[in-house]
Amino acid sequence: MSLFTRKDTLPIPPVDAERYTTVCQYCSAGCGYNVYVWPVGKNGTARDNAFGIDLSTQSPMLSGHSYSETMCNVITRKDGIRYHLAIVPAKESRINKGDYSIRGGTNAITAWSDSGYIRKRLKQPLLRNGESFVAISWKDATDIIATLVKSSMDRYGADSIAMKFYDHGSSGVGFEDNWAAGKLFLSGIGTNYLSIHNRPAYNSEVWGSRERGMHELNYDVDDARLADTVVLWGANTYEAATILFTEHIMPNLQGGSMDEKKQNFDAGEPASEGCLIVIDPRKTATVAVAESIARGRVLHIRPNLGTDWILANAIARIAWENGWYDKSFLEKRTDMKTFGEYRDKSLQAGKSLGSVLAEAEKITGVSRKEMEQAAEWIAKPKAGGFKRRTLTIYEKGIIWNMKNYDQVAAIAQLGMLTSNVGRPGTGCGRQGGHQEGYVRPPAPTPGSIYAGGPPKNVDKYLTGGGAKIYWVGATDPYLSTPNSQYFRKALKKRSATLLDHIDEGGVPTDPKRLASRVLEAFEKSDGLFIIVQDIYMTQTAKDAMLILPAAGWGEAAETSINCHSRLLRIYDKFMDAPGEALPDWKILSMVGMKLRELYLADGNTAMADRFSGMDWKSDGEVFLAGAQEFGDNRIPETGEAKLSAECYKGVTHQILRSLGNTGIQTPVRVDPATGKLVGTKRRFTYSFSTKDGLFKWYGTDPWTGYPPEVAKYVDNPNYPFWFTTGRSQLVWQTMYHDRYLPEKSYALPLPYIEVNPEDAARLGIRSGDMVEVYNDEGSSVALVYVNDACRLGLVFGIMYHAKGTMNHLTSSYTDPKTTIPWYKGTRVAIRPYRGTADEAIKKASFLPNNDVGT
Amino acid sequence: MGCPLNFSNGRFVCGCHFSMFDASKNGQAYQGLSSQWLAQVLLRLDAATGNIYAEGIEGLVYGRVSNLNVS
Repeated sequence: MSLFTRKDTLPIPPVDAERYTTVCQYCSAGCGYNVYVWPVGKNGTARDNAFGIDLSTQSPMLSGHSYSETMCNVITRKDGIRYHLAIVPAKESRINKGDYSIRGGTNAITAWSDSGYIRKRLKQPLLRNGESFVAISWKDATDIIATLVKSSMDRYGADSIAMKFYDHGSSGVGFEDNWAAGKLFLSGIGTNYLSIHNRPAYNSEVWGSRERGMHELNYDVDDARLADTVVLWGANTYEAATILFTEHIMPNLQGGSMDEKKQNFDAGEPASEGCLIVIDPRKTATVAVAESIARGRVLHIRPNLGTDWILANAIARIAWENGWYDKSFLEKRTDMKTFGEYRDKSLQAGKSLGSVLAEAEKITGVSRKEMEQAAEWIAKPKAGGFKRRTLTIYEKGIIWNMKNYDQVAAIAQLGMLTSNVGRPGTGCGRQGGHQEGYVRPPAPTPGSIYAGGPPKNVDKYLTGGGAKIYWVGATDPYLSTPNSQYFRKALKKRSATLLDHIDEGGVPTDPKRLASRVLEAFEKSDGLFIIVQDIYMTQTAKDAMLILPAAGWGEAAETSINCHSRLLRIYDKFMDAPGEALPDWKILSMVGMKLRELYLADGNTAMADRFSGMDWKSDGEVFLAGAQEFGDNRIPETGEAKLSAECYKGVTHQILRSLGNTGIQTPVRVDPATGKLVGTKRRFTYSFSTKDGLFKWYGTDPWTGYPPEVAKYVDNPNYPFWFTTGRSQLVWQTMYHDRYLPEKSYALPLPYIEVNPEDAARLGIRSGDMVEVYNDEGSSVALVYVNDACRLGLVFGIMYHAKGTMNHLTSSYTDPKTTIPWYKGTRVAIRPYRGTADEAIKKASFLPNNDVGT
Repeated sequence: MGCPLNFSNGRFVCGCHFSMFDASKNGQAYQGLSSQWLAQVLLRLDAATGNIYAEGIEGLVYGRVSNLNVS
């Protein structure tokens, strides 16, 4: 019997169904989707329907048209009428070509529906009253926030307001919400204590590349099909950016892009099936799939945790030693005045190759033979002297590594040294987690320690008693921030302190009385007023004083770009938000306008002006307002590096609706010759984003061991395992949607760890057992999967899950140069529980997810 | 995407994009691209004859809008 109710018939959209285009709400790939909405009871027929195809027979394999049980739903709009909703992958999208991932394939069933899986959305503003919450009006919620923010700013300064909001695109947000958040918190409030959704500070995760003049989104998906070699460095592409792998990297490995290579390569240049280098301590499904389709052309390198920049520099040294670089290219495109520092510190040109590689072998655990093989595949010119074309894609294995800045810089410089930027089949940039959609006024901290930084660590500020108000938008730091058990405990206590001061037999809902009591509590205690703005009740929201219901994906018109082509598209509104939920930009606008009103009433026009320009009437209007931040974009193609990577000036929602799944690639220019808007396929072909247009070199630090927060565990027999974390193919982020989908909640019932078979035998644990994973930072409960993904002595855990987080175990260390945490490295102990397995556990599969052989 | 599945080691593996389904756990998709679990065929074993009868199906066969023919 099935574990949940299955469908045996799908509703067919009629020819006159409403049609919209959108982009998947999940990963950085940004697959195109088509949306169909039509009243219940008015279905089309198998031969006469909105899809325009004959549905009377089974679709042939790989037809490009998919419509499955998880791609339809029934929604109710504010008109009270029930509608069918179908969200199907777009065959015409060059990103996914009709393909979809396990995440995107469920877009439709994540829609709010009173008859579907997603019923528990936030629907009204909620104010804490003791242990529970009461619904209040938007006017009261706005008045409470604006009064408290203003009073707190006036009494304690702007830094008494701390914030944690997204900076990304999709997932229900985009350029519109980012601009609104920037106007309120950066221009208006002006606090220095800003933090981004997945980290404790307000920073770029890739300053190590940006400060070289090379923005991290510089390649196109086509490059993944054209490259001679693709390098996936700390990037589990098959599981985390699935369609980039299956539609672009896999065809390259399988020889399916040979014709494209011949068309794009220089005359006489050799073209062959691609090679893949995966640098990852785990044998992921990405490795397993690649090896099954391209045996002999896959190199899997497994460095010790935290050592990748030493490896990147060693590979670069081999390329340098062999002369696998173009001296004239370096002289023309890079700042040779800074090259000496790179040559001396990163390449260690003053030492012999043998001693550099011997030291690198010892630190990284990677053999010289593997380093030499990698250098050859990345940099060795092809027959006839043609430059190799290598696309390097890195992600959280590098970004959330020890020494974030140096890790990213080392890889960016390896790409530059080997001329692998700005040509078809090349590129060196990040894979991305979410899609992007950043447009904001200038941040208070412009760069790393080398460029005005580092930024403030908001987590440490809050746990140390700083701030009076903490406003969290669309993220759940109780699960996602590093060292989260400590963070949670501190914030819970500060929230309880505040409640204790203001709850005298009930919390007043009258904004003036409430604000008066809260301000009194601010004076007398370290109580913290937490505001959570989200689509669901989150772990953090349980300690909030005020919860604001936001609109989700498909409930407002938003715009974002994907990460692998910077493809800007509209994510159109096709349904209403539940209850009184509002788009983020609207909520932020209401608070900003109220603050302006309060300052005007005070006669303080200078402060009032800081909140001006937030009275937007529509999502399209916010989009246009944000565009002004990008400055003049009327420049020729050769000047594209002068533009912000996400510049969309001149584009409107209406233009994007007309472009549909085709979109336009940022940075968008106005061509001086024609006056027309033009996208940018590939970046940095002509110059880099520095004042003189030259790439700036940097000399990385030498290996000096682990930071104290982790070094304390090394050689301590009480913590015998290295521990790293990451994503699962099956679910997205905290499972905010997925926890309600039976396909996901049955398959992945609990947070889990993966353990090597030998380690499992020594611990006496098997797949399906429950264990405690712990260290001095905290403890987590985990379900065990035994497989060979990890080597002996290394344990992997899903970073977080709706029912728990592994960030209880991560340390509070951040890179002093950037304030980016090392989420992916610490040490732990494991102790088995001996209870009886829950029924839910018995329903999950424990087959190894990295064994694809048949 | 409608590709044929290979069966080995207790699971079905898609030959196109490597979705994997656990045959002993309701055909659940535990790796890969498929957002839909496999359809399950209800079987009845006639102990007297040893014959196995397929008597129903739960879930939709991929690529169809209905398990029954529609027009």
